[in-house]
Amino acid sequence: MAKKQTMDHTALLVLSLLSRGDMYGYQMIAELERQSDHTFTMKEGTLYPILHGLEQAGAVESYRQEAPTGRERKYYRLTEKGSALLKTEAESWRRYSHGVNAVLEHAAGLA
Amino acid sequence: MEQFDRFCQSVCRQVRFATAAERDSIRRELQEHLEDRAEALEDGGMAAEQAAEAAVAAMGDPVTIGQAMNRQYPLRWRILLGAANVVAALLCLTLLLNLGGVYGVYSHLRCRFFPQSGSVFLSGEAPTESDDLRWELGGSVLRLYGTQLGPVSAAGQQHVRLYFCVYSKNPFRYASEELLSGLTLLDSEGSVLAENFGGGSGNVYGWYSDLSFTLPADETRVFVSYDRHGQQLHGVIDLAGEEVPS
Repeated sequence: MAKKQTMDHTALLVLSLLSRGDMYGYQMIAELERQSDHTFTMKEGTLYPILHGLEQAGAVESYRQEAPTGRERKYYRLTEKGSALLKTEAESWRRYSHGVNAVLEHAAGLA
Repeated sequence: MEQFDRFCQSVCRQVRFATAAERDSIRRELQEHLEDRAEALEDGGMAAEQAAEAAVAAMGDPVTIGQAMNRQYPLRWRILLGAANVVAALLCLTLLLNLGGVYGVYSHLRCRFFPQSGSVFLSGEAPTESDDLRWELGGSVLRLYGTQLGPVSAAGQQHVRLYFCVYSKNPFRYASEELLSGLTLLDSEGSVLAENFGGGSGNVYGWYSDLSFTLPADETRVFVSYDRHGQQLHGVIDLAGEEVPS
């Protein structure tokens, strides 16, 4: 079976979100909730160490810009390095979750 | 809002090695998120105070978040550069505080090698003839560096002035003023010609003094004596400039 995620799955989701366009932190939280049909919730503050870590790693870049609300916010942009990272980590995740699912199919007592 | 400030401060306190600008950016970003969340809750019908508290609660534990954030800002060379600046400043301060020592070495060297200029600098006195007779006592050196002979009077007496200086053999140590102030000059019969009650003028690393007396012109030998604190020094000066057997 493929090894477990090297990257935190939340970080993978962040890269995925940013691949569709630049966003700021709060906007990402709102978008994650919406896209996951409100099943995905997390402690909102935990997003920021992940964002800052991705920025230190060069996967994202930040800049300040006026948001649709009219206030200035700190936006994040996916870099080329981040785009490549998204591809490899997404693939890694697919192989891993496929492996988990394959084992689960053989479990007794599941529908 | 006060709760927002408390939350942000609590997070930032965990981030130890970020620069002030980085910490400020973190604080601002978290504050703006809290404002957005509180506003969304208020739009949903919640009261302002309640919305603020709910927004903070939704963020999670500030210490845990802060610790996770701290891991993203490890100690880096830029911080070390800041530390290097502190070290450089301390070095400058040490140097400034020790300039006295540097001047001390300069004074010592001046006394040791250029006593004429050293004494002129301090007291304006300068001998006409230069000499170089030295005696060592312990770690100190007593040096006769100049002589001034006056005209011979009708009674056959001559006015003599002798210039002395004292320095330590170690350039970093104070010179012994005691050696100068305890100096006595005697004639060949053992009578005291001059005593140096005035001590010396100088600046700790080099002391200068001159002693004056009158002597019959046909007497050329003067005896230098020091006897204090269990230490003795005895020397002979020949005013005619002949070599004196030691």
